[in-house]
Amino acid sequence: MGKLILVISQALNVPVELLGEESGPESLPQWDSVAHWQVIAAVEKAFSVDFTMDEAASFNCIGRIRQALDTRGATGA
Amino acid sequence: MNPPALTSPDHPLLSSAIAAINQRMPFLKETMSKSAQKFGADFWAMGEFVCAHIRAAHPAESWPPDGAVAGYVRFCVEFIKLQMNLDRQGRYACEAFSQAYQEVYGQAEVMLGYYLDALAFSTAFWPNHLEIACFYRDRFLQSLPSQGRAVELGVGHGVYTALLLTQRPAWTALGLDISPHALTYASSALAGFEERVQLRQGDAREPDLPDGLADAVVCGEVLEHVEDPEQLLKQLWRIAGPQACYFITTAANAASRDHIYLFDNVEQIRAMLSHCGFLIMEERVIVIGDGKFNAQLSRTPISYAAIVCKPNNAS
Repeated sequence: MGKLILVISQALNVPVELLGEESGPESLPQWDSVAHWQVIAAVEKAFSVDFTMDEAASFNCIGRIRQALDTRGATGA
Repeated sequence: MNPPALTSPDHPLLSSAIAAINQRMPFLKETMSKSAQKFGADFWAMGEFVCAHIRAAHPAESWPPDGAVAGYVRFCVEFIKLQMNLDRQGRYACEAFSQAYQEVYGQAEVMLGYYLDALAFSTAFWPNHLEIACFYRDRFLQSLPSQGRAVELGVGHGVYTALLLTQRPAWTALGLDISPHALTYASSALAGFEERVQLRQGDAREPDLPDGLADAVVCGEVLEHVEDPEQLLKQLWRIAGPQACYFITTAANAASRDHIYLFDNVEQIRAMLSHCGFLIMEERVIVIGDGKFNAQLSRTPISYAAIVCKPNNAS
């Protein structure tokens, strides 16, 4: 299990077993507009990054968040 | 019971915009579904009108424009973050009108890149903005005499002036905005009303307009964008005749990247209108956001709209 999945699991209060790269607002009813910022805030804190507004508006699944972390060279995701 | 499908063959522009927005950010579907359920036919009619307006602003693009869809999503996400920041800090992020001009109104990539499209879309998709637009259409515009001259200070995307010119075919309108990019956008969107509308660059705080010019004044969500809303209200008073009607909207505790003046509650707004001499004829006070969102906030965001007049026109 990756750190990113764990962080998002805790932010959404969703078991890690239910989360994968394709998980996002479409598949998880818990991932609403408020939870979106809770997820982003948790990921920013865990990986010491600061996403732009355009990035935040593009995160429609965990895989997109991972890509953004990879682009920034964040390690351990 | 399943929510009604958010598509309508009679409203093709709105239906395709909804589909595109939902595809990009699924959690926005919930807000739209609630609006559709609450407002019924008004949701579809106003939404189709707004979408036609946005399409007119993008004459060379297919519908819906990718940039407008992405811009609306960004705007919604941005609102949530700014609202949370407001709650933590107790003030808006923008501190001066000059800063708002430098960062927003004077920036083509902001105004034409996402901001105006997003604000226009919010007129149809945000329940608070939709309720105010219907209030404007059904109460304010219907109360106007058969002909006259309207002035909109801070015309922005131009949806409110478009509604006026559509609903009141014998009226003319003058739209003022400090942003040259807003004027670019509005002039395209209002091209169908070319003979009845004039757009001019100007500062709503010091409009270069003669006393008593207007028979009706529209000032939508501008008060919170200036350092001194009373100064703006005095200008509104000056530019309209004694029988004029006004439609004024603002917000309390509602974050945006260019909001400056923080109203803490509706009573402050009413008191300021009264202090400037206006008589409130009818108003709408609407809590923004749903219960879950607002439960996280200590400040409740509110949209406010009022039809006001000068006291000698109270009858």
